Amino acid sequence: MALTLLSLIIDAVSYGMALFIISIGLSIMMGLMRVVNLAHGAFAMIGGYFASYALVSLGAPYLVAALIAVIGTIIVSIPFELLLYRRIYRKSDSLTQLLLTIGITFFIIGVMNFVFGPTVKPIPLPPWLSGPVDIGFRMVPAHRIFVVICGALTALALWVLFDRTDFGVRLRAAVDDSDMAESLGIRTDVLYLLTFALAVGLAAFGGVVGAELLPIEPYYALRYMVIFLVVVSVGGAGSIAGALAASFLLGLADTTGKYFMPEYGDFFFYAAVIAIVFLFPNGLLGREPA
Amino acid sequence: MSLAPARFPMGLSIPLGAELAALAAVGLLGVVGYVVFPDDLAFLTRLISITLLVLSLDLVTGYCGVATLGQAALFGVAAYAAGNACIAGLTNPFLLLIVGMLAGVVTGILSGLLIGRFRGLQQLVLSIAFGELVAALANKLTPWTGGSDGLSGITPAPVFGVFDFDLYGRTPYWLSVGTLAIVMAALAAFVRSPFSLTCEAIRDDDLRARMIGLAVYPRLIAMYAVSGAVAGAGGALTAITTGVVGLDSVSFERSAEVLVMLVLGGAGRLWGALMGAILFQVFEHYVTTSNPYSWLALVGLMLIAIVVFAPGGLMRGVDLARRRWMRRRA
Amino acid sequence: MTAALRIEGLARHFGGVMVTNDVSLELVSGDRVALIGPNGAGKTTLVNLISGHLKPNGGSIMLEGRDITRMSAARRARLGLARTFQITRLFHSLTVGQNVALPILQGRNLSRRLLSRRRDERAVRRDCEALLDELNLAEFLDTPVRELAYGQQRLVDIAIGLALEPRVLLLDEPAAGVPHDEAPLILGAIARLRPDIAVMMIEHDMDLVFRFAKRVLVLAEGRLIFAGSPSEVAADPGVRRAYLGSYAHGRGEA
Repeated sequence: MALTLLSLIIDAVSYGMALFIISIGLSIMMGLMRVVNLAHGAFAMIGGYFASYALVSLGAPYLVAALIAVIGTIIVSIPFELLLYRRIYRKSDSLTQLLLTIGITFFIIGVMNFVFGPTVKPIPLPPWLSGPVDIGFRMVPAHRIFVVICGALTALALWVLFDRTDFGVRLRAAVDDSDMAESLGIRTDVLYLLTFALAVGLAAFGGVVGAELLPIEPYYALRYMVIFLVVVSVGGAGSIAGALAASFLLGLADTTGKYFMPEYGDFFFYAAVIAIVFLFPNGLLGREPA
Repeated sequence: MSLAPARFPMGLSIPLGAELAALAAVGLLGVVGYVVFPDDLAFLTRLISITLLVLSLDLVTGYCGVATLGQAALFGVAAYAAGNACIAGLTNPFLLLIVGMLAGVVTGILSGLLIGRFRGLQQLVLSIAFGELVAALANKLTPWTGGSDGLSGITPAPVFGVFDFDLYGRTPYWLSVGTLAIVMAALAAFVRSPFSLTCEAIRDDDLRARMIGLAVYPRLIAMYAVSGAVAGAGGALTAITTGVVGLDSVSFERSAEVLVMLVLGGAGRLWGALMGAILFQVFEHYVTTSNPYSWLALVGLMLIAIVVFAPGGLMRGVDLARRRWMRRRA
Repeated sequence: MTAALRIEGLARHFGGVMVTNDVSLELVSGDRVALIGPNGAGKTTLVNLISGHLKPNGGSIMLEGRDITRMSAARRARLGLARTFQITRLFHSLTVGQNVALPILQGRNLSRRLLSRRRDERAVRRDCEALLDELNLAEFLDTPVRELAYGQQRLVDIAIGLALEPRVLLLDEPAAGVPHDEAPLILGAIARLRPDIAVMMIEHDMDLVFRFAKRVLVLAEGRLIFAGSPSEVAADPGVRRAYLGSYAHGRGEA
């Protein structure tokens, strides 16, 4: 029992961290651009495809493949920002945002399948990540620890970015008042583009390092879309700490359900989601809107 | 002359004009379908049950502004309810329709209770969660749903005790056309009621609606109940006319697809929902290749094109054409 | 006689900032009160608290002797409390007639009907026409509101408030943003408001305040600092300090 509990916690934490890395970009976009981007998971998926291609067909090392994935996904995503996302920042109603971004999701799924086929794409782990690691009293898969470290570094880096850099200060000014930011000489369209690239890059990164837990295949974009949205909705848009807390909580709910009642599928996960939204309508760490 | 469709409070109008027009138009479409696609009646029958689901979605999304990706739950639960009632021995097709509508109303109220409370992201997440919850239950409760094999062995009695569910599919077809015509006529009356007008007010600005004394949450729940009845009629029709109910009736894909149909035709308009549902499904019927993914890419492009070039859907195009025509006459 | 609206010790804070600080006031039937104060004084917050859009942290609100502090905004409206918005909020996809019909249906207890009756339709349409006629909007009955000029939209906003047949009407800067040539429309409408309604109006334009108000309330930093006649207010040193202070403060920020 104790052993099960421990492996459950390790699985839940690493799963939660993978969710965090992918979802935090969505959360930032929600916070700044007020856009519910259902296609966020599709960009994580594109990252996974890039990495798989780089690893399997080009024979690139794991970390290089991850870098290729992030850069490649950002390049692929920029036309979407310039042509489509721009139209729906901040002012559009949620139905318009939903329609446009789910349209983008469907389109990406179709194209990815056309290019790479419908099967699960492998992202083979390098030797230093595939073995177990002794953490003193127990052996833990190295990959799980790697995901946790990546998540912690991502959270730290974002905190530094938002709280300690000029870019972060401008970003928060634009969040509070985009007109004000404009009048202070901040080009909000450039700021939005950079934020979009950051969000998509994080999604791609999360897609690669989380591929062991969330396997890469064309329906990835739909299958996990809800989970990413839920992380943002439960954590509160734009909140790093909220997203972190929500990721752990949901990782725990999902993993516990799968450990003890696998035959119920996602039932308990979604029941937990509904309960959390009702209990914390403004997110776990959210403030009441003024 | 205004562009807005004539609704409450109207001046002069032909009594029951809109209702009779709806009956006649759906009847005419039924005849056209029968003549043009005599060998595809099964397809048209399925098209009609999905059309009812699109109409039900129009009530909550088009009229109340609720962004939902969980509408299939109302349809699927009703289909399972009607199927089980039939297997249990209640074989009269009309009673089965009523069973389906009641199940739809109950599911609709539950759905409204959950989803109507919030707006924006929370609303979307809850709608998906509700849909997935129902889908997970449908998968698990095999005694009533057949799980992934589907619920089969639904054999309703002949309509009016005379018209058998024959191999040619004529009885299910005309039963479906009749149901759709009656539902359209009833909705034509319903959407110009004071209640529906208040729902449109809530859609436009829910805070302002509160400030004129409208309680938003109970009204959304009530609209969800009506929507559930319409979706339930569609679900019951599927069970009755195909004899099987599969997990696809409660799936996320179903919910997403009907949303696409609605915006293609034009949300907030009954005729928009009807047109979108028919055009989309006829198009799908002919275009779908062996590869479902290419179809998905096409649907994605279509959605993007609607949002960018034709917000308001096809009905808006019809309105603009009508306006131009009237201006030329004036 | 019970007051139309009575507020006692109303308080509201956001984070640590007191936006409404121990505000007490009373409106009687037929009152014409202007609520003025420098930017950021909390005027709109006060209206939001009274109308139920915001929940107070303390204090009480009575509408004609009835405690409405804990009631929803919708119930307050049904009991006779109407308001307009600083930036016009209308049901933008509906016609002018429909916008005004909504509160009339609500008032006649018809808004829950699932089918429309021709008798009701005609009666409601007559009421709409009568009300819109008073505001010189009759010709726009079947026009979508979004096609109206902004000044006319503001009038529709007021018409919606009046259609509720309120006991208390709160107007949040009814003339704000209205082009100069359309302003007289608003002024005329306000001058013709039914005499038994208690009206409180937030307004910056002192010209309008003098013409409209019998009493003036001044709000600064969330507190009521003055209550008196329009002629007294300009002479009050406290009020002048409040305005000057905010002016200097505002300059310092920019």
